[in-house]
Amino acid sequence: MKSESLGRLDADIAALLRAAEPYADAPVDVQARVGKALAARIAGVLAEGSPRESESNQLEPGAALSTTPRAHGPLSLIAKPIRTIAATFLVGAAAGAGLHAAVQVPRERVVYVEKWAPALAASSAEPAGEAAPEGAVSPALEVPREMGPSVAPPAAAPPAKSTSARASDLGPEQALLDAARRALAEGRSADALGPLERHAQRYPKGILVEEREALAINVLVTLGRYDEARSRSDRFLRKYPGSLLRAAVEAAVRAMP
Amino acid sequence: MPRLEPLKFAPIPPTRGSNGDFEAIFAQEFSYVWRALARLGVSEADREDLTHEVFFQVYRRLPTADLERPLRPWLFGFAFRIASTHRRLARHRFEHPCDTIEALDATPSAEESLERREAQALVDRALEDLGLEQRAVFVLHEIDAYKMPEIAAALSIPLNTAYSRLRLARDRFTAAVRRLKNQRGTP
Repeated sequence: MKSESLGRLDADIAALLRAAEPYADAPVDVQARVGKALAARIAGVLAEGSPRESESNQLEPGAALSTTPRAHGPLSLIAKPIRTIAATFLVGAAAGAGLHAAVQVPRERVVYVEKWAPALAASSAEPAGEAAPEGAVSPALEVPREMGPSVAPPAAAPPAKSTSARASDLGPEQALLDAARRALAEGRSADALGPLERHAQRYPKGILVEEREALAINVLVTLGRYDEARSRSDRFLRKYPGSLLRAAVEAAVRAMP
Repeated sequence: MPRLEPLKFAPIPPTRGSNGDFEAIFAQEFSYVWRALARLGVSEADREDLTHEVFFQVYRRLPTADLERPLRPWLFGFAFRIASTHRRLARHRFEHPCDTIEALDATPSAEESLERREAQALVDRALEDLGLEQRAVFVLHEIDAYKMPEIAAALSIPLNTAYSRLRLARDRFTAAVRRLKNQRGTP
């Protein structure tokens, strides 16, 4: 349906909308209060270093929301899981409106390659400036462990590293996804597989798992590996039903013949 | 109007969307987000928290935002998603924003003010008949006057879906207004 067939609102309804009192601006004291709280929250996320143990695996807002006690006011229901994954986005992960563009099919894709905050970048094992090297192309792009019940353990996990999400892993995680995203943006979709697989192996419960899966689905679509893309997108949508990346994943699926 | 102290936010990745961008967006668009949440039916009691949440998400997403696109539909998209989650998962009370409209400016005449408030009350009551998804499209198109492709992008929905929601929203809104007017006995 296009706008031509919509017609216009009835004249009296349009007049009513024009006549209505516009909502008042936000009170200045509210804006100041929110600004200060926001600045403190952002600083706290950056300074936190690693998520609290109890929050470390709450990467699914829907699941966390459904079980969180309501004793701390309405926002706590939303804020807790968001705090947990906040660092993910502070390092520039592809998500939201940006990701909607970033994991679109190539014709419409807008891909930005981000770097992370210097403090986090210092811990990076694979800086974003490096393309995916060393035999990057994976023949199968394994399903990560948390997306399926029977997948091999990570082969190249660094020693003594927990599989839980840790803020200190953000830099290396982001570097792998940046390499994959850059390859995809430059039309080298096959080269994106290696970094994605390495991410799946090293960070099976990493902070950027959701972003990796959305990116992987798009890569598989661009490579014409439609069956894998479909099964992977099915798992993604089951696991992250409320994901902000859902629309982007669905768009990639729709792009398949 | 008192001036706000400039806020200093922690650094974000510099490649797209600088701290300056975020601070400017926060300063200039705070009231827009506030009003957007009101239009989506978020009660005043919850609006401060949800506005905070919107801007926190904006902060996170700014590095990957396409700043060439219109800003407000993008912001409205955050407001819509957060309001949707808020409503769906927590069953928070939504209210008629007209119930909490602040004291009106003294500039227009009392009669004009009354008419505008009554019109707003009617609009708010009629909006209550719309689902949140229809309401978001309706507000963005009929009140904010954004084009449908911009709205579809902001809400991450196919364009045809956006048109479909708008058509349904118009029908429901119109029917609600007529019904409410009949109940009041006004023409």
